[in-house]
Amino acid sequence: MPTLNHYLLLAILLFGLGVTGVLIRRNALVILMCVELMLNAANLALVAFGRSGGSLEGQAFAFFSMTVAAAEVAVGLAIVVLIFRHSGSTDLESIRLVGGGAREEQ
Amino acid sequence: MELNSNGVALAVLFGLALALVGVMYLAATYLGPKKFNKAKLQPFECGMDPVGSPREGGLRLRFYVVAILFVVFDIETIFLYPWAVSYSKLGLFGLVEVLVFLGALGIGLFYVLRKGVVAWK
Amino acid sequence: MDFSGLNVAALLPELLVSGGGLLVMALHAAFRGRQDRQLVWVSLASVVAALAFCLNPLTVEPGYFGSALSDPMAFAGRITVLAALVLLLPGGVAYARSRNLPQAEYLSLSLFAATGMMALASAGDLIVLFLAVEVLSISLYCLAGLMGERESSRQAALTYFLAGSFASGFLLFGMALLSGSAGTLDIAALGTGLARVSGTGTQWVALGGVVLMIAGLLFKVGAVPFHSWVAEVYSGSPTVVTAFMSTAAKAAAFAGFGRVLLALGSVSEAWVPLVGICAGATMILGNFTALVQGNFKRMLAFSSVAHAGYLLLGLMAVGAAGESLEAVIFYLLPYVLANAALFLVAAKVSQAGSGNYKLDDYKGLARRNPWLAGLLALLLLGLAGMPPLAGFMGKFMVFSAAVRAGHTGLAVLGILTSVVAVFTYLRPVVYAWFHEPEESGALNLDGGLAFVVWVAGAGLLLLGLWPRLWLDLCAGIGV
Repeated sequence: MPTLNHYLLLAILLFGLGVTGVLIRRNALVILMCVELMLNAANLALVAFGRSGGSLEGQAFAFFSMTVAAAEVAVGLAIVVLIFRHSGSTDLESIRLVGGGAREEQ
Repeated sequence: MELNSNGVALAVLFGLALALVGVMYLAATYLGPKKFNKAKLQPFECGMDPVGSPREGGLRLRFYVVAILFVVFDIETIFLYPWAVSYSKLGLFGLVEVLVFLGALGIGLFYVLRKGVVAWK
Repeated sequence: MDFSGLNVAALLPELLVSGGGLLVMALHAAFRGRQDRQLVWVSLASVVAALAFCLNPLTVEPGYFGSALSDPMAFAGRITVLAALVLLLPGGVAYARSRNLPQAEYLSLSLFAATGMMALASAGDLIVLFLAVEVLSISLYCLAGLMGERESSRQAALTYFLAGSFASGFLLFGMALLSGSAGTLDIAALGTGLARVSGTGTQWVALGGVVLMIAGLLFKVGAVPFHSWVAEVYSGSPTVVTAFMSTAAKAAAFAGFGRVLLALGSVSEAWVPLVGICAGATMILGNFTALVQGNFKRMLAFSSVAHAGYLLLGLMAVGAAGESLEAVIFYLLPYVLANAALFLVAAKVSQAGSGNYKLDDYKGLARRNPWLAGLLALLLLGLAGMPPLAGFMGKFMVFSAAVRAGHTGLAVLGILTSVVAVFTYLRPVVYAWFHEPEESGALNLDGGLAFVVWVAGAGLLLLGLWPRLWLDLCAGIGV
């Protein structure tokens, strides 16, 4: 029977996986997915704590964070699509190369 | 015990079905005649020869926009379930709150429609 | 179900502002953009209504069962954010119109962001805190990319989004661990919840949560190890959006940060070294990087990093030693007034000059418009902390709170770096008054910008001479 600690361990592993992914990947879409992994790790921890403590608060929090994550993905994808339309790539390095040095707003 | 024997019967049925499908596929592969020609290998397209590669056009941006909108509006229903479950406890206050919530979403939808985002040209 | 703890009035300022944002969206869609010129009045009306409601004593009771507070901190945060909106929206719309940006979207997204900021200042539990942070961040991601045709703006939006959502991940995971092990979502009750689990294994989970959450918040306020996004985002975003980010958003983030640290005072030994190192590094790096910038917008961006360092110092004193929040509350309002006006002036001067925010544009400004040059000097010296302006009182209060809390070393570092800041801020002033103009001809301000600059200058002077005016107003409203 899995206990709270098992769920927490899993959540921490997922979170670590997400953080590592954000730090080492260079593709904007993959980074977006890794951020989602971090948020979902938090959701897992919230629900596990709520279940073990017998309160609904954790689950309510998870509901809110899921909607926030959806909104974040929507905006993030829109930004990535905007970039892709102009530079033809979602790779951060090549986006930066296209940008050159001229990033001052006029 | 009864549950177990039922489970065994189901497993046997599954196994038989899988085996039958496998045998039929293999039989068709090994026994059937194979005569290929150019017309047969072409992707199916009514009446005329296909032009260019199917990947060439790329994905239209419109699909992304619709998908993004779907994600947002779809996930918002998450708040309707807890409200529906505790409807009788929340009473009029809950109804008003949900109407405010849906009203805000409705304004968003109105904005999206007027901006012509989902107008399929 | 018992609704006696509901008190919707506690959230009315936020509701009015977000309602204004929705109305702007709906009107823009209903008239198909033909009446966009009138929308700024709708927005300002909702902001003024919210301001009136903040001053109304009805909002003193906490609402939504303790999730929305109305204490001095909430009051000060709301007024600061609304003041920034009043100063920035008219100028922002003019800026958007002149550069062909979508005005209605600028207005409604600004109002939504402001809703998040106000809710952040008045958050009573962790759910509201997280939602508020996200509402303000997501609106600002969109605003940063408002100039989507321009490479710099797209880049700023992407960088801001990636950095911001990464920080949100830390914040949420930290909140999950902390609230789960403390057994409560109520921010004020976190301390007692933590005391209950101290000495057990759960304590380590809770402390991990505290560290992750503080890291997320440091990321959001752009403090030093997590400041790498600031320069690119601030210089790439449309200037009026940068002004909004570096003033109202920062003030709100510090209000929320202050609440969290206040509640975590019982475990201060876990985070004081962490925040202390960040505060020191932020002061040094922010001030010295600002000093060498040849670009006015980037200079303001880095100087806002430096101010984050001073504010962190103030927060440390609050959380760890039980100092009152007065110093932080007082620091924020003049900072917001001066920065909002300076960014708008920067947009104007740059447009009339090189077009890319060169400091050289300020050469000989005194010949072209002595009033503007004088007010520019007033605002910059106010930020630098020259008496008798409000910036001086803010710094004085923060440093003395830090000394009382035992952080003498950091306070001395703060004073030393403030001297560096004076040189930074004096450079444009010297250019304006003691250099020959490269271009001749008067540089006239339009009515809106002149109003903003005068109001900000008068505010700095007034708050500097009578600091109790603002503090007593805050204290009188709440507890």
